[in-house]
Amino acid sequence: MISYLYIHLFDQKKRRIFMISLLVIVLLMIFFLYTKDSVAEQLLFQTYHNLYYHLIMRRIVSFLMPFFVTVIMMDHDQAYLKPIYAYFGRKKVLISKIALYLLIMTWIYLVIGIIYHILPSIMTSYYILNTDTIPFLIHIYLDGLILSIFILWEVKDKHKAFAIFIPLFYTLVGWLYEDYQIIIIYYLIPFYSSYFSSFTLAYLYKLCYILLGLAITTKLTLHEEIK
Amino acid sequence: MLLIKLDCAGKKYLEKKFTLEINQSDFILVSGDNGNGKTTLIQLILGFIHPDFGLVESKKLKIGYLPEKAMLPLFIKVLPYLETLAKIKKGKLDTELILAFNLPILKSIHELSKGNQQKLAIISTFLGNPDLIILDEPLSGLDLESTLILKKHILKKKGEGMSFMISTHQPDLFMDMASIHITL
Repeated sequence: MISYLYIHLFDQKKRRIFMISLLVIVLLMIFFLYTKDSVAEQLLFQTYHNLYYHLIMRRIVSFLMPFFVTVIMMDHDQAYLKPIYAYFGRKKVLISKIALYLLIMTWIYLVIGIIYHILPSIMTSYYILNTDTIPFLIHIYLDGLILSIFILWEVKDKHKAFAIFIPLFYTLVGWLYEDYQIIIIYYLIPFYSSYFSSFTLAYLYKLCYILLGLAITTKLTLHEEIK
Repeated sequence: MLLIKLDCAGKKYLEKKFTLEINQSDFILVSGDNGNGKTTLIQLILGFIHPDFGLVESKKLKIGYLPEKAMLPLFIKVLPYLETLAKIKKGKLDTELILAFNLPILKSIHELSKGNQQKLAIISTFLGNPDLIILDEPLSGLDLESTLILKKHILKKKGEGMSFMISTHQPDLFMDMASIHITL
């Protein structure tokens, strides 16, 4: 069933868009990585270069990934799934759909994580692995899952253009967290924040949030009317 | 064996209420003017919509459903589409029907004409081992020859004990096979 949904929801056209989006992210990374400094200069100002790289890349990744996730997921509700619902039942199709998107999300974030590390290792002499990057990438991955649940829940075939508001909302909340650390808002929308995400419990909270979101989405999707 | 039972089931926006029992090997023909609730009846049976009045009781069924408008993924070739569908439905490709319909299996679905897309949707509906087949306007876009091929195929499947529900504006074509004829 997963392979069937994959060829439907992730067809040739979609795969092309996906590759182009990935290429854009890589090109942006290359653009910001490019430096005219000599090896000696890069090593002399290693801390400064590293700080700059991680700061810029975190901004790019946390800004572009929600849009990337939205582009991939916005077509999840397709009219041609109706005959499949009729044959297999909604529950089986929904579980397969969730499993498929979980696999795709994990794959994408793994690729981004690898590129984040490999690209500067190849292109620069100053790069050193910053251990803070791993928690950041995990948080961004969990954010991707939260966004996926919002999209599964809210974005339907008839008004899928509104999906664009979800990454915009994510970006706005991110900006809000930069200036104001209001814990109540974080409880409601636990998107990445350099302040709140430093708490160890933030992972657990996000996981519970994702599971609750999945449970609500499943319940609603199984009982909604399909027209 | 009873498959589905509708007991005064209806929607607020529709004046009619449906009372119907679908048993194994039944052939139900639904006809009537536009806006009289043919599609609503089908959606109630499929469980896509919930009744505002009455009850719909159904067993856990595998239903082969052909929507009024063929709904197919466009950017995939016909053969891989059918093969994957047959695989997940744990059935075999009906090569006889594919050949009879003369379907261009190596073309991408978006390159097919409306009639060929309808033929493909029909073949997809019959794939697997459905307990009940619901065809909503199956003749839409089909030429006379394909219509006769479809009728022959339905007759064959009916002989094998498959249940059918067909909604159409041309009921005369299936009148000889119908065990129940509902005019809305």
